[in-house]
Amino acid sequence: MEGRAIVREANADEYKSDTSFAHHMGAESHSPPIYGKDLDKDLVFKSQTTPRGNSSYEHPDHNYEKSEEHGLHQWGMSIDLNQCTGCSACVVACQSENNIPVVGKDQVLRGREMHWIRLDRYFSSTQRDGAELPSDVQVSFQGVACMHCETAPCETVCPVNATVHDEEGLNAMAYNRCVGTRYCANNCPYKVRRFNFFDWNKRKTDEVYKGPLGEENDPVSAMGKNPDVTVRMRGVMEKCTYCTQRIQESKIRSKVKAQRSKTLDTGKDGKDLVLDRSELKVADGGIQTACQQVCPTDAIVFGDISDPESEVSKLKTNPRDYSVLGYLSTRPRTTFLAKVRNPNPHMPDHAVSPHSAREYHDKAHPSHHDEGHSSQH
Amino acid sequence: MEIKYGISATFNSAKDIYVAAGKIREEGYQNWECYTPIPVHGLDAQMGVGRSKVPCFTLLGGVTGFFTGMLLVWFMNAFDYPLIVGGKPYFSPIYPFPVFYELTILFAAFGTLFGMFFLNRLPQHNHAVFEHPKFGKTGDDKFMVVIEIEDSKFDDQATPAFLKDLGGKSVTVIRESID
Repeated sequence: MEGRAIVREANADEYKSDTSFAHHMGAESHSPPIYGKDLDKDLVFKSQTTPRGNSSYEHPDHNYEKSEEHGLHQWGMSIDLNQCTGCSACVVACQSENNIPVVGKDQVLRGREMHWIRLDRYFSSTQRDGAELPSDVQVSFQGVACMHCETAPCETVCPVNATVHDEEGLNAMAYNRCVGTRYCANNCPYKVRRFNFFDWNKRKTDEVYKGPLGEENDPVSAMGKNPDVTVRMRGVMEKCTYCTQRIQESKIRSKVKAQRSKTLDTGKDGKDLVLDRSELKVADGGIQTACQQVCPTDAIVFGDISDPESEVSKLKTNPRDYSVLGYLSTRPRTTFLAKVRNPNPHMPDHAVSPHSAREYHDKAHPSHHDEGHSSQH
Repeated sequence: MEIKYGISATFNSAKDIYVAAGKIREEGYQNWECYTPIPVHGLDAQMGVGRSKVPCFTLLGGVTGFFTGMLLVWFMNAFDYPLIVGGKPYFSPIYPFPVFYELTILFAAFGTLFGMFFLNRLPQHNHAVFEHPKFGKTGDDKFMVVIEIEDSKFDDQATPAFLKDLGGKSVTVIRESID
């Protein structure tokens, strides 16, 4: 992790003495606060208004249409690294839900894999003893999908506005508008954008290089696609959408439900029927993203962060909550809960801190090298 | 049909035309021109020609371009189709500055080019002086002064006499054909 505290870990004893250890790691722990003077504002305010902090820029809030239904929800996600076992079910679920093509080994070796969510593994150790492979390896898992940054670096560089924010905080991708410059993927600090180098869906995997002359895919595989999601063509960028099809479906479903019950209550219909904001809201837990749905340990939680009572909002107020590469002020909507390890102190390989935390402190504070690593800086 | 364009007189050296130009300026003529085979330094000042007005058009074009850029960005990003792009404001004078800058350069270049065309009354396919049989000599070894008929001080008798007094040779009336 090269001293960047991408995965933040502590042992249970450390956690007991300092529950907000995750806030004392990473560059943002000793840089001016990202939110500036708005640091202590609550999540509802932060998600709805994109506070400017000390920036001279005035960020637009998410209700420019001035309509009742705009910016009704503010979507966010929390991934608990404590619960992640690295089973990769989320990767497979996403692949199947979002019609993500299988590109084959050859293309994966060329770095053209298409997974919208990937599972990063970090290996850390203390003693190498000159051996090729260290003996005391600790593994940390982290599922990384599009973070839906509030101040998304990818959007800034798109020359055709193909990727912009919608009013509910999703980093939306207009495939029809994308011209395939790949600037966005270049500027994404999380490297979660995937480019369709070929017509993966249209052609057989070993025929893609022939372009339009290549043999087309068996139509049977098209029947396996999710009908709610587009099939992307060659030359466009794609990435995690927070399962926008599920979001839309739930929003429509809850609107229809609200209309029906109100019609029954009031007898009004059509134009006379007016629903207010609270009635249109999707109930917490009413939307599950594909990755969330399959997660066997419920490590992934998705919901409306403008609702302080939602599960995801509560998780984001947990002291273990942190943003990956938070010091870039991308303000990601997906945040992580730091991992707490509980090693047996009687075991011979027991260490005061997890190896990754030790490595972080060694790299981030080299001058403190000989001091105790358990203390927080 | 032909109309009078002006009266020409030729001189044999740069010194002669330089002296003559000074006298013509002192006499108060406005619409006249010197044609020389070589650049004669100081002749502009001697003729009383001021600084070029093209920079005014350049400035005008540049300022227009800057505000056109602002209008463009404001209209597209903040008025007609506001989109949240990277959490940036819909309109700001800072982040879209490259647009303003590029349009400033473009319009300033257009201002310069078309301002020069306008001031030189271009495009003009032919000029009456070109028809003058002696005009070819001004690319060789002759220096020529042409006083146009449009000049308020122009006089059918006095002007040719004045040019002859200055030492001008082969004083000729130039005619241009209009159809």
